[in-house]
Amino acid sequence: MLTHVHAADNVAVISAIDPDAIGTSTVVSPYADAGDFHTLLAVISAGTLGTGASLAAKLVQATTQAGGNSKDIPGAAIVALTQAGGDSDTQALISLQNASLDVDNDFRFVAISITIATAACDAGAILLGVSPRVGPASDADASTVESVVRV
Amino acid sequence: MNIVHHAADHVKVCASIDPDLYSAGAYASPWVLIRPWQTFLAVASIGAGGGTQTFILQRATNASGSGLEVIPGTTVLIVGSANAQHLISLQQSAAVSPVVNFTHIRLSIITSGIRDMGAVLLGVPPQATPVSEDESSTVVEVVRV
Repeated sequence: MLTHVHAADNVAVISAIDPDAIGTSTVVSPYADAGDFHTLLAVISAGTLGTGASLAAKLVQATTQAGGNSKDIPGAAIVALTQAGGDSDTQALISLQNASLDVDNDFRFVAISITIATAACDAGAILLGVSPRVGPASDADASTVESVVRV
Repeated sequence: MNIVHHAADHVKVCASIDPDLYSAGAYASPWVLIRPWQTFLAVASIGAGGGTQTFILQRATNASGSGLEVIPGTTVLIVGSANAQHLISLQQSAAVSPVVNFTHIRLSIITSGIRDMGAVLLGVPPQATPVSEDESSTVVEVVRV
């Protein structure tokens, strides 16, 4: 990684699950093209977890940006965060090397999947592309990134 | 970059404002030491709600917030945004001052209305560090695949 450049040149926000009170359900972020980066980092942020609730998260892969043929990425799942375990207001990370994708079968799109069980939880997540193959990372920011300030 | 490294070796979560439905007011992350990090990326995630939000980075001379001031150039006024992200990319050299010994920074979001939001402050160390010793203590799990 080049350290004399801005963080925004090396790290992009390529997908997200917006912060919200999420009911008992599974929420999947938009799929992002992993091919633009050497590695990906998912940051799953838990706010207040409801009584008895759990928050599970994983990365999934697909062959199209619309999520075609979606399937799990082996090993790319966290141990569920739980209210009983005192995991409110914490973060969990999933660091993914592209070699873990099923590229032989054209799986190049990645999304974050969060599943809430038992009770609603405040949660959100961002999927970061780290070390772009070409050009500054910010060229590959998701369309939902409305501003990038460099200081 | 050495591509055998994981993203988690290059990018650490330094501090956060946890996702929640916030009422009008000012919210800030814990203070973070500037020194271990070459650059920072602050990511504000704005969900649904009302009002306007001001996303800023602040600096201080200690972990208690002494001498607090806004880092010049790091004020982002967010108007009419929903389900979007706003980024501030900060070089270490812009976080410090030749006059005052600023040692810590933090995130702050001021909202004028009720809004779902959250933020993380990411630090990029000068070289890959597989040990997550500088990561925030609120990071409870790091899965590497």
